[in-house]
Amino acid sequence: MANDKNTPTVWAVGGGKGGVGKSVISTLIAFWLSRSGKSTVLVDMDLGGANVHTLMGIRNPSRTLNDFVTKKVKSLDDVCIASEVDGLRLIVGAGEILSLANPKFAQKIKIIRAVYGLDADHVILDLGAGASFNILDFFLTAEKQISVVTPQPTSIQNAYAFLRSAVYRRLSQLTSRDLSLMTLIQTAMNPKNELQMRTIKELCHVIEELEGAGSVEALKKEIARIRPLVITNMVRDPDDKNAGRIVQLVAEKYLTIQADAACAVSYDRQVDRMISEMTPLVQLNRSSRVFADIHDICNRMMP
Amino acid sequence: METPIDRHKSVAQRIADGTLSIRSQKEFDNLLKIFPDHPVLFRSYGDFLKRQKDLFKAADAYGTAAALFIEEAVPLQSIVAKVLEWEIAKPAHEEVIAFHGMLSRIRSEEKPALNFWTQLSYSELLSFMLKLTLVRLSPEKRVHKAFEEENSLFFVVSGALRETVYMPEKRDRPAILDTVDLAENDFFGTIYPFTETVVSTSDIHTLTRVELIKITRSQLAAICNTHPDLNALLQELYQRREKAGEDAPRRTVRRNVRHHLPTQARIKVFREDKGQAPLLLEGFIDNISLGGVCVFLNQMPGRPLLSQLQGRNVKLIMKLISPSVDLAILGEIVWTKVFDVDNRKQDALGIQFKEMSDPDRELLEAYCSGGDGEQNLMWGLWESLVKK
Repeated sequence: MANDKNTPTVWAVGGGKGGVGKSVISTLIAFWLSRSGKSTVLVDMDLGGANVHTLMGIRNPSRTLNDFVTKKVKSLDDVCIASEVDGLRLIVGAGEILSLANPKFAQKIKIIRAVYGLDADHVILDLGAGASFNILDFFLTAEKQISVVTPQPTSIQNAYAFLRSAVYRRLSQLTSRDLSLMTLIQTAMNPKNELQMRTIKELCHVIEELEGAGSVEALKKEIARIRPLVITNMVRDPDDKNAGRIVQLVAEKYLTIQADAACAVSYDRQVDRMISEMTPLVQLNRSSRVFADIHDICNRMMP
Repeated sequence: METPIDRHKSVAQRIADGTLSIRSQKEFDNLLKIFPDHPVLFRSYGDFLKRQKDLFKAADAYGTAAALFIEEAVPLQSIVAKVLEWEIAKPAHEEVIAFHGMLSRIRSEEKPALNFWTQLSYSELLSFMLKLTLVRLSPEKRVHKAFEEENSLFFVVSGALRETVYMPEKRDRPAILDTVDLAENDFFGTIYPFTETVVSTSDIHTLTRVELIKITRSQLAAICNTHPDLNALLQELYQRREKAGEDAPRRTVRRNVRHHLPTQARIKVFREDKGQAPLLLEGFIDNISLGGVCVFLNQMPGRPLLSQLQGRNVKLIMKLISPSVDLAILGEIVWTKVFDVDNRKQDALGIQFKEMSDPDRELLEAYCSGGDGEQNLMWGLWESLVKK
């Protein structure tokens, strides 16, 4: 039974770079939650390149998110596809529908509202790669935010850039009606700005000087709500786990957000093999270290 | 005036750093028709033909590349192309003399290594060419480990590397003193004078796909024994590097690291006939650098053939963090290609940026990877926490 009829807990899994394992982690979290008796819907929000259904072993989905957006069906529940796991349903992304790759504002709001109206305990949004404002908006609306990184320099850069973009996106949203604040934030987005605002703390300081303490407190409070879990994926040795910690430390210093980087997912060749063979990931061997890692992640996210 | 290599640098860079691989004769034919004077393309064509075991044609392609590199006043790349050509077809004595003549006419004071190659005598050049080893490395490979003895001299033929300099006195717990990026025509490896054994305090690793030429201490010492005049050139080579280091304590080179940040983009393709409205395309940027982007195009009825888009001027509008921060950059479509993505054909094109204002460049830089402080902290932590 859902925890509250209209408000499932929404998780968003993003992270900037493609190929870091966002979809695999989303799928396994959704699987773990449903196995724990929670009704769960996994939504493939990679609207430009949906692939989660393949990880679930579904080759030709009968319905996609596009059917909802184009009003072929009334409710988002109507496009949910049952999976081979009890309590786990899937909403297939609409990769082939190019108009959805960049939903218009009204479409985006419609999707967000409908996600919160799903009849489920948990909804997992598997976001696409990149840091476009649509992806950031889906990420920012989620109660549980996950950013996935792999132990590679480019992935760390991209994961940090993703969080940086998310913070500035949130600030832009909050100040959209205040031209002077908006201008300040846009200035701060350029790291070489003339006002020497290199960090969010410095931005807040400038805002406080120009606009007063009241304005800045509200912004700080909103930034503090961004508390992502940075998961290091494909960990092969203990040092690899520090990739997430790097993102955490740089984000704390420059963005003043409190990320959690305590979780990691081990590399398992079996996962690669299953993806290549299009074997449903839910059939992953229960003794895989990956399962234990997902268990830790879910426990950490749901104390 | 822009030279051909300037205009098409993104193609060259992409071929050199391995992000654009050309796998068929047809693709080469098309590109060579469009860029008939492109040395990197001919060099790559030679490699392709060699892999296909079409050795005579490969030698021809290497020869053309060598001549074009000389026109571009880049002796090292020309020497490497010649070595590859002559590995297949042994040269006549006159041919080597002619090549040396062309090399020695190049005048470049820009980098110590360029000057070094052009001042070699005929016999010194020949000795070098016989001993050089070509080293190809993929990204993120360590070339030299800190606190180990230097035994070879390396010259960078293509690609980018990073040298991380540690504080010499903290050998047990290495602390980073500086980082230096190395690019084409830089060199590293202090092995001269031969009487001194140098323990390097630098780690050097590749950032992109890299091609280096290497000569060991014993090989170089042997060449110097036979050609004593070479000592003066080597001395000058190292002295000029030291001086360059003093003048600019932190050397920086232009290096276009590509960031995989899918971003929505609109492209206005300008028509050749004035007065005609530009053609509008949409798609997703697959990867971005400060030099250009690779865009996967959305399907769209009535869109012209990819080949018709090549060479056209465009305005690229990238949607960044919010709709109010669109970034518009002028550029040129320098390549087109059909990729196979998940068994589906996906049209892609490469846009090289033509001009960008400083604020736009900074915004793009920030979008890609944040500011200097963030970058430095990130790489410092990477070195100490993750890197093996």
